[in-house]
Amino acid sequence: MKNNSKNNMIINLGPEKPLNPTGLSISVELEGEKIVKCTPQLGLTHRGLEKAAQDKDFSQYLPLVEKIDYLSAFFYAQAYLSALEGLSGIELPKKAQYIRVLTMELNRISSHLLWFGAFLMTLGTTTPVRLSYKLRDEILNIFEKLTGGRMSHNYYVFGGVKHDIPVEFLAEISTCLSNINKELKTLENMAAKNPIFTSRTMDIGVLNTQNAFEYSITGVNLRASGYNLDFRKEKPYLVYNELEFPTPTAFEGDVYSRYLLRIEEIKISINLVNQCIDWLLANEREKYSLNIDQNDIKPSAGRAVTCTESARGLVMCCLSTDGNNKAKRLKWRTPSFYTVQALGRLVPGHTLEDLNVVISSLDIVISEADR
Amino acid sequence: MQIESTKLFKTLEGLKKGGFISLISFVAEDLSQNPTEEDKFLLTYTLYNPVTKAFEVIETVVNSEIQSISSLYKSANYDEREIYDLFGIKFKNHPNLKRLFLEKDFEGHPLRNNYNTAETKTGRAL
Repeated sequence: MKNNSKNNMIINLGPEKPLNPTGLSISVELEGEKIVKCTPQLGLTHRGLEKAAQDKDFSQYLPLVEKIDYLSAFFYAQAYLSALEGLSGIELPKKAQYIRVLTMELNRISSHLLWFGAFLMTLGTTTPVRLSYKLRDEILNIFEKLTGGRMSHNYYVFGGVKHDIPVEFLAEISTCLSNINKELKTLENMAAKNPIFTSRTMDIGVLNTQNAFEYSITGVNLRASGYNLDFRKEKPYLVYNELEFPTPTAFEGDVYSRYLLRIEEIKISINLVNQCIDWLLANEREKYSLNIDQNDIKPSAGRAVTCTESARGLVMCCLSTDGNNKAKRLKWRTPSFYTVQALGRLVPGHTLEDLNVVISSLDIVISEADR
Repeated sequence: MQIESTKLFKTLEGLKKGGFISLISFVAEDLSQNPTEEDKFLLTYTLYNPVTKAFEVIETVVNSEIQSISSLYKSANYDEREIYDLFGIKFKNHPNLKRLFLEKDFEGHPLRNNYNTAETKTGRAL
């Protein structure tokens, strides 16, 4: 803590904060109780994952991809593998595509549920956290049974998925989701119907559409600011063009609308998973993988860019290869990297107690921003 | 679209006026083949126009220095700091061109082709 010439107080928050498991360090300048400047500092979780791509061959790098954002492992694996598959000219079997969409949407639900718990904790409530973590745990149990891992799965392989989903297991997923759908109403009643909740979230942390574009914000945060851009619809990948789903948009751009949209996304994802389950039940006998030797991935020389709509926004994998079994250059465009930058615009004008609410409403994962 | 690095700022300024108000991604790549060769980097800018829903990809090759575009696109501020940090490309007129990820006394720029990983000094002197 120190004072500057204008007698404003500068406070450094973090990097170790209970709600940011990976270190986000923020320096805020206070004029009385009001924040006048907010400077985030990145780099404390930098692991050189783009450099690692140049040292390891494609199959060795695959498990590392899921560590970029530990809450959206499937999205990153999909972005990476589709770049490789695109360069190799491979078309995935239909069943593999449906299984990937199913697991990604489950991933979206689990990520949003974790966000929901953490978000309400910043507002000082503890009861809904237990319920939302319990629901998330049910999805992690599904992941564990299916892939062997709860957080990082290594389930997607070049040319498909590692193994098939048994038909009996699909029924289990279905039951779990209907349970989540039911419990979600309880969660909503606990939060949104509470007058304290609405007074602390409405008109707080307002991000208008113009600023959202200037800071390159994507995903739910952009849709809450009044522009409908969802890369599942904009540049459809896998079988998203065969599935029916809305992309709701809000216009206020405040914390409350971001909350509403995330809850809405959970419901949409549940519906998407159910559509996938129906298809998988009807096409039980199709093949789920091309059975390619994973140690011999050699895409042709060239550049590939793939877009994936993760739980936090647009993930882009920009891969450049020269015909060898290693990447020449791999760049990850991660949504949190840009959201962190927008804090400098969003936070000033608020008080210190609103700072946590604004940060957590944006759903920032620092390991993703730092890579 | 391939353009010369000297015309980059003007081109992007024009595109921004034409509605490409969002810089979706900004990628750098080292093109040099061997360590003795002169520095050569490829910069790729992906722009988005929310009205027409169009994407525009601008590519340019630079040696070591280029005009900063952070006054046009606010999101480019961190992008340019990251590229400066990992590649050592200098952005003229950048408001705060410091390393973004690595510590300030780190030597070298790890994503350059001539960077020797074995010589990386880890840890910080106290």
